[in-house]
Amino acid sequence: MGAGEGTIVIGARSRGRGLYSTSRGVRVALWIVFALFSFPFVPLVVASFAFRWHWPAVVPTEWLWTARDASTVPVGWAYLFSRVSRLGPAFANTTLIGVAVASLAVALALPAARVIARYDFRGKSFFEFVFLMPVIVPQISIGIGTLLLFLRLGLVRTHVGVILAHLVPTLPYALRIMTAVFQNLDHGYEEVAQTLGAGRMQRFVRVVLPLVLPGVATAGLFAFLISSNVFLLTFLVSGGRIPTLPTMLFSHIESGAPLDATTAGLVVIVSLPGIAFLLLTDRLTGQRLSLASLGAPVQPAVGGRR
Amino acid sequence: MSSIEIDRVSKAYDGPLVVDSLSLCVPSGTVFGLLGPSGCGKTTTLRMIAGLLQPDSGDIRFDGVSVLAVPPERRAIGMVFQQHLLFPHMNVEQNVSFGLRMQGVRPAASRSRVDEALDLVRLGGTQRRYPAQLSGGQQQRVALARAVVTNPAVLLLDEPLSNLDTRLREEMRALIRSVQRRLGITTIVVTHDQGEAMELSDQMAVMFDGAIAQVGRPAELYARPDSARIARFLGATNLIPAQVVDTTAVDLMRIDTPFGSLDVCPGNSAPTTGSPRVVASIRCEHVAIVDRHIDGPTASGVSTRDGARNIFTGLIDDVVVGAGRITYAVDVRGTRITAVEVSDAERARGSTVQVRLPCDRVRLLPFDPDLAGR
Ligand SMILES: Nc1ncnc2c1ncn2[C@@H]1O[C@H](COP(=O)(O)OP(=O)(O)OP(=O)(O)O)[C@@H](O)[C@H]1O
Ligand SMILES: [Mg+2]
Repeated sequence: MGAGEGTIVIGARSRGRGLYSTSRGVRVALWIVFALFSFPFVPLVVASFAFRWHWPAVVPTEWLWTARDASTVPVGWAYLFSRVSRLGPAFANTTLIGVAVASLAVALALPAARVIARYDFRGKSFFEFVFLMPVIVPQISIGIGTLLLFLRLGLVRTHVGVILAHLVPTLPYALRIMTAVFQNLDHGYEEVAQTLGAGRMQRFVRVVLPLVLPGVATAGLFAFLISSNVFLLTFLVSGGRIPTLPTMLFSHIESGAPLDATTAGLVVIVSLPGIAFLLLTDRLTGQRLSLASLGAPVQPAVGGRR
Repeated sequence: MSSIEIDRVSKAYDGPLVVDSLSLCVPSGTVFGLLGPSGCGKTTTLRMIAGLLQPDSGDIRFDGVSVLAVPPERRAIGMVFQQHLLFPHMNVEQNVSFGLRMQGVRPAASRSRVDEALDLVRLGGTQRRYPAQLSGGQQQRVALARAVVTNPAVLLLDEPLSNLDTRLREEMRALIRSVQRRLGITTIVVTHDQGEAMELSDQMAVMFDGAIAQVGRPAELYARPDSARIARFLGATNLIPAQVVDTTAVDLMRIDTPFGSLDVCPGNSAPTTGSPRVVASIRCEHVAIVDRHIDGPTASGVSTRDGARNIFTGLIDDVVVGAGRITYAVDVRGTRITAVEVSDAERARGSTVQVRLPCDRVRLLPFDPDLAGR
């Protein structure tokens, strides 16, 4: 994801009368894209309700509800929603850690990105390289390194430890996104505010923050998505003691049930926090989360946001 | 409301000096026009006055007190930037009231002042619109309202009217003048439109390459430029390379030009280097064209003594008809003289005419190898 490359439009919802109305062709294209993206989910959802589904059958040969008595232990959704599965704590952990990681990543990336985008200093390209390292280095190396360090610091098996470890793969993305956002933000807005009597804090709160908010939401969203998908780091640092959706999924697969209804259901659930977070950030910013729209005047939500 | 003094200020970005030991003084409550070609350092100068840029050397004083240590937000200035930079996430009312909010003005009080400022720029009723929903000219006027609504002591305008059509531009000029007079704001207006600078300013300066070339009242600068470059920058003019041949006569000086000798009033020459090589400058609208068969300039009602001098025969080479004025290029023995006549009666191309260069309108300027003969 290069700085300012292409447009990343996330959750572009049509919002009443915009300045541009979408033509029919555009709408058809959008639906095709939607179909392509949601295609992999369809068999997953179907599988989560299947008791038996062998190739080459197009639909399951036996559904869960018809085979309720065939199995002695609950399977599929029944299992997932039973207390035995411990889905609840895993879901809570994933969400909690994800939100904490997203907030921290954004809070750290914001000032750093501003400096990188705005100023030239000695060793700037070196810093940029270092910030990008975690993306290049294999996660297992990061994981072992982090583990060794955290063992000494007593952070192993703590939520704090997991959150800090998750910052390693998330921060580079947040930084990248925020740097692009600040590079597209005209410094002139702050200067105008300054001539109008706004001090440093007021300029940041009233001018900079609202203008970079879509970017902040995007960065936070990415951090959250990455965090809610990390298995290895969580597993190593938590010592298996803090269950999250990915660790739960992996241990389930490891236990020798490759794609039964339970696994399929679990996979569907794993993707839920991300979708929920996407909808939430979209609602929060009240406008399209578009990196490219930041340089140009941000299109106001016509019709107002009440 | 406060006077501005710029004292030998210099500024370089990475390379050469962009502003080079520039000094000027704007008396309190007056309008100062800063005129110069693109890239000469006008915006840079304005940004240093605003405090957005720190000079490398020199001093800037408001009311005699140095403001170099004062950050922009405490300099009590209003500034309209070249790119009007309305806050895109705020509507018109929020944009205009921004400065008032920073001053802690209560919303109720601020609303009426915003309405007043918007009425002033003829944009009443647009309060709820967002910048993206305004035309370029409307955005510029909102930026102007935003800058003056706080009653700043100093108003800095960086080409505030560049996006407007002719009529609106004239209206806005009048408006800036009236706002400025009413509030007594010391104003610096940057432009590269000489007409605009002349109409708006009490005093104006022409700037080349980061330094002030000449300062004065607009009419004075227009009539008595110090150099060929200034003369040409301030409106259309004929620049003729010449040689001073006779300075003995008390009331008249004689110069040699490529098309013959000219008599010139001696009072009308720039402080020259003393060299006999000069450039004679005469504004296009001061060149009189006389039909050849109407004998003598007496017909055009000029006093005979002066009128009889400096008359040359030429051929009309080119005719450009403008709005209420016609521009002729007349070939006088190989030298092209441009003349502008305020008239509707068009003379035919190729006809022979006489041009008269009034003695008191010819100004002698220092020789400039780049400009002579154009
Ligand atoms: N931030 C900058 N970094 C480096 N050089 C700059 C910068 N800003 C301006 N310059 C250079 O300084 C010179 C003066 O620029 P300035 O913007 O003051 O010109 P100007 O007189 O306002 O021109 P214009 O009428 O086109 O707006 C130009 O040569 C320009 O290229
Ligand atoms: Mg400029």
